[in-house]
Amino acid sequence: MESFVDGISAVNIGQMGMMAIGALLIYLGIKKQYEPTLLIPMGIGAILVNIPHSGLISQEINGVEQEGILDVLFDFGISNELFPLLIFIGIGAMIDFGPLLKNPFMFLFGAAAQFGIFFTILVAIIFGFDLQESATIGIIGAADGPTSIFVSNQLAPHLLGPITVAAYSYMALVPIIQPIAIRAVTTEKERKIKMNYKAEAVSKTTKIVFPIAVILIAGFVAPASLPLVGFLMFGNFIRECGVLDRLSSSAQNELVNLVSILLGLTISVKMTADQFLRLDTLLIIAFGLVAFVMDTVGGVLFAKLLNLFRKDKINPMVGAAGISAFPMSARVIQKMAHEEDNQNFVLMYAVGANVSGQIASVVAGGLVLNFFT
Amino acid sequence: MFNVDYAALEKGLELMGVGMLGIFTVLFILYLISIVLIKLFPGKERKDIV
Repeated sequence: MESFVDGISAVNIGQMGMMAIGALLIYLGIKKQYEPTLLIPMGIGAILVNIPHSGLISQEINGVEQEGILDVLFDFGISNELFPLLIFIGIGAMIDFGPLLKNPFMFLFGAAAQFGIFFTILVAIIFGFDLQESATIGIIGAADGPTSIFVSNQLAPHLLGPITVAAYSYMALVPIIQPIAIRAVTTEKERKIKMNYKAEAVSKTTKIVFPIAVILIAGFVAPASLPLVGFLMFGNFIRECGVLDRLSSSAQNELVNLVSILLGLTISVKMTADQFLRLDTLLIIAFGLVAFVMDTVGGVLFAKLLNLFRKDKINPMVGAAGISAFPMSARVIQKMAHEEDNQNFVLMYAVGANVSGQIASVVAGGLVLNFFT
Repeated sequence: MFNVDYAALEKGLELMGVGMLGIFTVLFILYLISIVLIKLFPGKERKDIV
């Protein structure tokens, strides 16, 4: 009973607040199904690391400094970027670049929809963050959790917790954020634009050569992006080569599942009350929203710009699918197109732009890192 | 209201220029490579969906 009272009395208001945030993440993961694979382990982790004297994180217990198991995992898997990179193998194995290769023009929308990253960097600088912190905050706009973790860990590791929470939360909120942003910058007539789709099969050879081409191009233009691009494309290569189906299946399932468990729990090391409950955290979460909105706006406006010069008009909503949140963004765009006109099918174009966004976001992360090396 | 670090802002604008140019460059090259790959290794044509 005495130790129970001691335990309760050792908890401060901040730690209780963080436990409430942990409970909120768990609620969002279970009830709303917002990225549950990451938010639930992070929620549990946030509760665990805010219980005093637990020994889960490195802390002084009875005057002796003890290394916590979560810190050991952090050093093992996040400090050296191992976990995010392993997840990229799985993501690469899950992606079918076919819809993009059928409509290569969609590559450009993946590029345009990274605008939010750089816009947000400027906003963060104006609000007093230094350049490296701002670059890290902007990377939330990559709409890609592992890339955000990777860049954050190199440029501003002290911001890892709030940036990860913001990145995964907004990815889950894409169905809410994107329609509002798209409607703000498009007319009903534009949203009703129909796009003819020519269904062509992409040869196996093309799908095999493509990941190698991406590795070479990204590696020469932005070498710092190669850990991200290389692991992503390695995953895709084992999917497409046709002789490593077992490995591809393991990467898509066991590997991603195992690493997700460890990644979510381990990130919570950065969710202690003293690191998380700061004004900076609120600003970072607000800037994350700015990044997602400006990504969407960037993609849409780029499509509208191209339409000035094109005979066959592009539905500008497709541009918004150029963010990396796959496949949610593509689904949102198709749903919106269908709501405007139930005979409008832009899904394959949106999927093409969406997988292009996967490549563009990791390249963006690499270019940002390149800038500081 | 804001105590803006103009040197950092200038660097941020430079990063924006370098970043967007770099992304468009990489993706444009990939666009061209994809067209070449599709020409070199064509798949079977199906039908138009309107």
